[in-house]
Amino acid sequence: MKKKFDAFKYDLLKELGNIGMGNAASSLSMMLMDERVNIHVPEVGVVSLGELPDHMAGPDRIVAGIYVQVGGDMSLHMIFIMPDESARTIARILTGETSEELSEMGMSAILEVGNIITAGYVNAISDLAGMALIPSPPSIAVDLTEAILGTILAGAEVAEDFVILIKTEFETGKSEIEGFLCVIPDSESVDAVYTKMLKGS
Amino acid sequence: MDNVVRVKIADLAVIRELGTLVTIGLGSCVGIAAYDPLTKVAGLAHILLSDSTKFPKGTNPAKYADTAVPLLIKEMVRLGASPHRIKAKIAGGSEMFQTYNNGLLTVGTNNVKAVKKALALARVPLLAEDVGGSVGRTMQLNAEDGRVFIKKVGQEPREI
Repeated sequence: MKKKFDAFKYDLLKELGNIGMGNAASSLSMMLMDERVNIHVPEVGVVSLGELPDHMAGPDRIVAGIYVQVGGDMSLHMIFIMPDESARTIARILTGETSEELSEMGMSAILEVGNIITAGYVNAISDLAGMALIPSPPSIAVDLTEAILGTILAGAEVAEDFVILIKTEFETGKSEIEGFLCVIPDSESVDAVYTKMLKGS
Repeated sequence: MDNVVRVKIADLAVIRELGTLVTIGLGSCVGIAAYDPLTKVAGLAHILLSDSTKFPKGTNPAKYADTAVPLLIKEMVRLGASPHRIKAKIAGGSEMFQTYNNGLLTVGTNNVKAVKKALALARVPLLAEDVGGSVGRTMQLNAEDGRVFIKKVGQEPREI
């Protein structure tokens, strides 16, 4: 990943990523009946649109993608991606079903996990920067990583050819669940958080 | 496997005679496979958005339908194709997120419309299409014979 913007902003986004995923991991751990959830240190960087899928599970993997758009004091696109096997594991743990195909119940369990993860991040920003953020209801799709990310980038109408990517990965101990959170802020939003945290109370 | 060229999001590629062009996972994006049968020049574009004029800051013409089509033709001509012989097949433009979401529900449809308009403007006939629905598609174009295959998740590849 290229790191084009200044070091302080980079650290700030990274720290927000840490705290956000910390929140999310403890909620997820509770949901999974106290299973241990390990989070990797977030990576922050500037990535070209075409390379985004390579940073998230790989372009041709089947994944469940949960998308939340955040508005209010700043605007963000958040995508939580879980490889197919992990999504089915989550569905099995939470609903007890073991079928190959994901049922409606299974899908809504996965949607809820995505909701918890993205909310953890949104809450971290709004607590630390004192900003009012309004997340949209989550939407879910199960398909190839590239198809899901392309659709979101198109829906977001990204004007730049690069996006700021805040990537966090986590995995669980015994059930082997793997997940990737991708947060795409617009550059004005990054500046807004930066100003607010330096000058705010 | 011989020469396989992967075309990423907002990118395009052209090859001649040998090899395969592939773009993985077209969601609301649209893949444009163009071919000149005489010179066996093949081109594939993966566009993300419909209209470059809405994005004055944009610098990558392969990202938008209206600018990617002329660029694709230009690149094919550079490899020896004749613009009069180029014909196209398209795939993608699905609406993957079915639940509530304003913007995401029309992007795919708009992209398909914009690609068709750009092809018509460039006088490139559209031979076949596999568009819409709610699934992602992988598109493959063989340079040797110009055959185009579409693969959806959980299905066998199908020629269009």
